[in-house]
Amino acid sequence: MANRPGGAMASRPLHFIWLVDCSGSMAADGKVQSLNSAIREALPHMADVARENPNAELLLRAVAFSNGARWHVANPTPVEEFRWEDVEASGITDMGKAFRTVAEQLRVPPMSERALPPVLALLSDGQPSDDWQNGLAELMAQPWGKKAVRIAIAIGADADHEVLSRFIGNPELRPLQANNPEALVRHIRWVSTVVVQSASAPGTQQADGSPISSNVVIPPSDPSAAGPSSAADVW
Amino acid sequence: MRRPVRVGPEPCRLSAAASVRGAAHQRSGMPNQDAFGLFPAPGLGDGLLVALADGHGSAKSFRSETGSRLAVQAAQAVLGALLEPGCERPEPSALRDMAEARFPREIVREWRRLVDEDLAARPIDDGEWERLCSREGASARRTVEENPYHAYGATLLAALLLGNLHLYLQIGDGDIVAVGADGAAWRPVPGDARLLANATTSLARKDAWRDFRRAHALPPSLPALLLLATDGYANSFAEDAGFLQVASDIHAMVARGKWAEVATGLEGWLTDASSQGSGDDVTAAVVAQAGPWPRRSRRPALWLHFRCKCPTNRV
Repeated sequence: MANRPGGAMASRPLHFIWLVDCSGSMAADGKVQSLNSAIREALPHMADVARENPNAELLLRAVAFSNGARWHVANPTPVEEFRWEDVEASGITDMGKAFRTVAEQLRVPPMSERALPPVLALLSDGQPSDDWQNGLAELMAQPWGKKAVRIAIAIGADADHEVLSRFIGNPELRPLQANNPEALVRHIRWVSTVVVQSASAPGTQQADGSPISSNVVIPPSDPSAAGPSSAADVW
Repeated sequence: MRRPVRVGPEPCRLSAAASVRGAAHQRSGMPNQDAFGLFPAPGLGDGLLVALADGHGSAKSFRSETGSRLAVQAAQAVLGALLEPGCERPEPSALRDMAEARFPREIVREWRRLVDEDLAARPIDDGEWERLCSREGASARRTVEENPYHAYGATLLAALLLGNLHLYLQIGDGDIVAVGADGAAWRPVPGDARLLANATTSLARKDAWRDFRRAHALPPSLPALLLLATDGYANSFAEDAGFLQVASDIHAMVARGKWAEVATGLEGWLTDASSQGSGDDVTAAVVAQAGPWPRRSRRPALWLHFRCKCPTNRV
């Protein structure tokens, strides 16, 4: 509109960050290959959700952790431009360093106060080997860390549910268990679509001091995708 | 109160307001949950009350469309009383005391009374409970049963202009922006660190009166223009400076004698903002002095703002 007052307009940024366990145990039984293909497969569905929510600008990043943590995709990348390069598995499980790496990026700035609550999706198959408690404390010390939607996928029977639950920080949300490649695909698809949809248009909530710190209500995941065990289980 | 555009009749003060349903609300079938009211003093009085309210969009606040309307009514009942003929204008210090101790309590009390009336007239029905449970589970129903005001949750922004004395009151998110005669824009009301990630303080919250933030202005620090807006407006701009620029740009339009463009263009600007920006409902009110303004102006040093220093204000 001509003579419209004010500066440039923009949809609200929605940051989505994968935190991916690349420790040596992820090499066993094709877990890391399954993870790579599951994320790659979910991207078109994620893009569909983004198109349906034009008032949220979905921006993706990824942190890989094993011996330390590094940005696998460092720049917030629009989902349409995002390409998943395979991660490889070796080393230990420095999950705490991954939390610290993400915490650095959730400060204001570089985060803007008008952003939508970010989504942090943690995928891990084992127990942290570093000081994950302090790393998590650093993440939760950031207002955007506390307000983030935090989802965890436990890959295989050796994943540490207690740690993943502490990361989620919401008694109404449990880690999603993936004991086979199909379940991993379903969970990653669910995070990439249902969770992104909820985070794209969250209603305003009262700041009521609830221990459930995120303002985004996440619908329950498909129970059939989270069964405790089945004949198809390989992890 | 929910007419899309309303233009104030006063000869010496220009006022307009508009409210648009959010682009995201249109896609999801949600109504416009904002409300506003412009209440000029009767007759030739020079007073004006502007009130905006934003109903929470969460599933728990499934009657927030009504809650926001009642919030504006509550502001009118409490603050509008000072505009009535025969009502003695308070001294600035007295007004500040009233804003600190009396108005927030009375607004919350009046809003709750109005909500109670609405609940008595139309109790929450099975369909509303079912929709809530399907979206947020049984625990959400328990939350609303324990505090039915949740269902009506809303914020409130109010500006009471009593001649040369302004009072601004705010609970929750949204913005009150003042513009000096030089075009510089600023927020007179202090911020609240809890208002992040779609979280807001609310009239529905226990002890809500403690969450009110306040400011007042006196000559020579009265602004030339005020912009009040629900948070959907500021959230539509890439940078906060771009939002503040709205108020400065409108001020410049008024200075060029283009008030009519402001009054007629406002609704379209808000529609643009929602569709290109936040997707949220957007409501805004503009109040401008008709001029002339002093040639030289600065951000006033004498702006006075104050806020409860109670523990519940801490994050």
